[in-house]
Amino acid sequence: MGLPAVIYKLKPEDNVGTALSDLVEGRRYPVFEEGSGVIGEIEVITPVPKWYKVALERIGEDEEVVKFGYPIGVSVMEIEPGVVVHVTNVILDSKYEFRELVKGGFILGEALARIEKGELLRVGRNFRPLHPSMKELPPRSRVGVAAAPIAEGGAIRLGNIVDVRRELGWNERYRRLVRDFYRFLRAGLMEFSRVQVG
Amino acid sequence: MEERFVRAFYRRRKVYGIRNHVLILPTTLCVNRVAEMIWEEFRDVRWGDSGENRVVVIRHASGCCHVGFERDVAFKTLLGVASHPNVHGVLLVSLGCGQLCKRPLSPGEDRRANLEAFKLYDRLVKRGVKVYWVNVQERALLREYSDGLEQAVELGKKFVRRLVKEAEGLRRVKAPINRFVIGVGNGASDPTSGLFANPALGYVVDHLVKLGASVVFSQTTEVLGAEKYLFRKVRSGRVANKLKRLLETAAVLKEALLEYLEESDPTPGNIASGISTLTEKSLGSVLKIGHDPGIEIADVLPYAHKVPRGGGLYFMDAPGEDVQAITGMVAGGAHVVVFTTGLGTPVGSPVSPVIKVTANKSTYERLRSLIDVYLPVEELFEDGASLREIALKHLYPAILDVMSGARLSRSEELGQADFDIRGYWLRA
Repeated sequence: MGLPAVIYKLKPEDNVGTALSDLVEGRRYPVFEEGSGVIGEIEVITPVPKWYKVALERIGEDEEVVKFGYPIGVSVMEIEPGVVVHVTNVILDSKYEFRELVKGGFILGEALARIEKGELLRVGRNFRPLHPSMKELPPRSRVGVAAAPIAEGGAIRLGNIVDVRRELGWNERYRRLVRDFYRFLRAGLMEFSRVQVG
Repeated sequence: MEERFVRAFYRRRKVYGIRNHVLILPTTLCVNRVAEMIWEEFRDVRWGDSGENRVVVIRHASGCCHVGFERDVAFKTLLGVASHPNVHGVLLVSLGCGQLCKRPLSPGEDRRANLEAFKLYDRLVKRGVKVYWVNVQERALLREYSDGLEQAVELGKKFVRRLVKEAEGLRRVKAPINRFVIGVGNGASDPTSGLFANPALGYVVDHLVKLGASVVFSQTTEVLGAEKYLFRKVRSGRVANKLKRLLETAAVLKEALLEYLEESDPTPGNIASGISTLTEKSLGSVLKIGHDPGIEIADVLPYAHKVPRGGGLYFMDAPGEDVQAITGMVAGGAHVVVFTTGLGTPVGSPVSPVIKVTANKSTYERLRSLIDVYLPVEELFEDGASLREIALKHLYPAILDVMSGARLSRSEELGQADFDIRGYWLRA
């Protein structure tokens, strides 16, 4: 490829750039910003493979790493300029993690004590309802069976519990919730505008 | 040619098409071969200024034994592609017992008895599409045929000949760009996609939206991780709610799937090529929807839903897989799809041209017969051109040329007719 040995920066606010070819430790390379040309030079202090990111300025611990003009993660340690930025020193910030978007709607409740696998979950005994549709359940209602051990205070969600066994009798509201959950999954794929949780 | 006009076919149903294809569409997968037998006579028939129009046949894996709403999705997709603006007329080939399009009415039969069975044909007629229908399990064998299959094939050929003759008569007229829908996508990516090709396409998208064209992007699983970036482009609460619900669901499914597969995202391959986080990976893909903060996402659409014409940026819920995403956007009415790639892919669509763009020079040189446009990124460093200038100089005119029929896209030259309807689960 006819790409020069420069560090390419896409937006002015970026604090990392991308190496357009393999960069050698200890040498100085120009920093090229899209739209403005060469804006400076930087000494690379670790080897940087092609397409890897290099810090253009000092990034402190727990600071945002900005590429494409947008934070792509946070640093887990102090990063000096000229150091390669990769999975060793940057992680996805939990603020940006998509799991965060999900959690809210799918936690049913909280474990009041440690629950072993296969143990029955009962409101007030080992289960504190958090989800709006579970809150009106009378005390001692059976809400399901733990599919995996759950620590005390741990979240009980659709995923770590299974249905109440049939011989124990169905809890109508719980069954409705499970049905709605699967309807949500299905509906979400096509008619996401009509989705209702709980 | 002025930059805000293209030359296109005007149809009586008040739409502009950039191609004038005749489509042979099996309504169920069982008759793919029958449709192909009809098509074989027209394999090399071309018409139009540069021979851009032809008889196309779609072979697909849908139309029977769908469960629940999967059937509606298949129906919607087939309806969307059959009434596509680039299609002059359609020949429906049905088996007779298929789920979506059963046999035609015999004389005296009560139409109300099974409305569902005639929905596809009826809807096409209502939309003003020229449509013919042959059915393989037809009960009455005409005197001149000794075999039902032969009858279906010969009748089909007769209808297609009629459609081709009509289509040949239509001429292109000048049409403003704001009457068109342009789809964007990316696949077979490499580091050049995220750094150059997608941001460059973003500048073209900004330009198109400003000129009043509708632009649609999809590939839901590939935007996960860049949700917050997407939400910066959303103003209305209604759209924000739709988008949030859609992404939540997609995230749950993806999380469950990755857990099941014991995989991670970014993948080990991504990490080896320098991608550190999911946000970084998704941003590289999402930048193709444009840079202008003034342009907002006008609406979020379900799979294969009709994209409103008349301007704006739309998001369609479709899988990350290239063919299913392109099929969804084309069924939604995308006249042309612009597709960035790093490693190279031949992907195409039966009724819409797919323009492939790369910023990887070695891919372009090795796979010239697949790639339409090379973005000369070395000009960035040699001539001091900006990415926006390069995109508007090399990519934008190529899109207009392909739309006006001045040249064929590589996907059309190769005869790519990739068509795959999004599926959800096992069939009955």
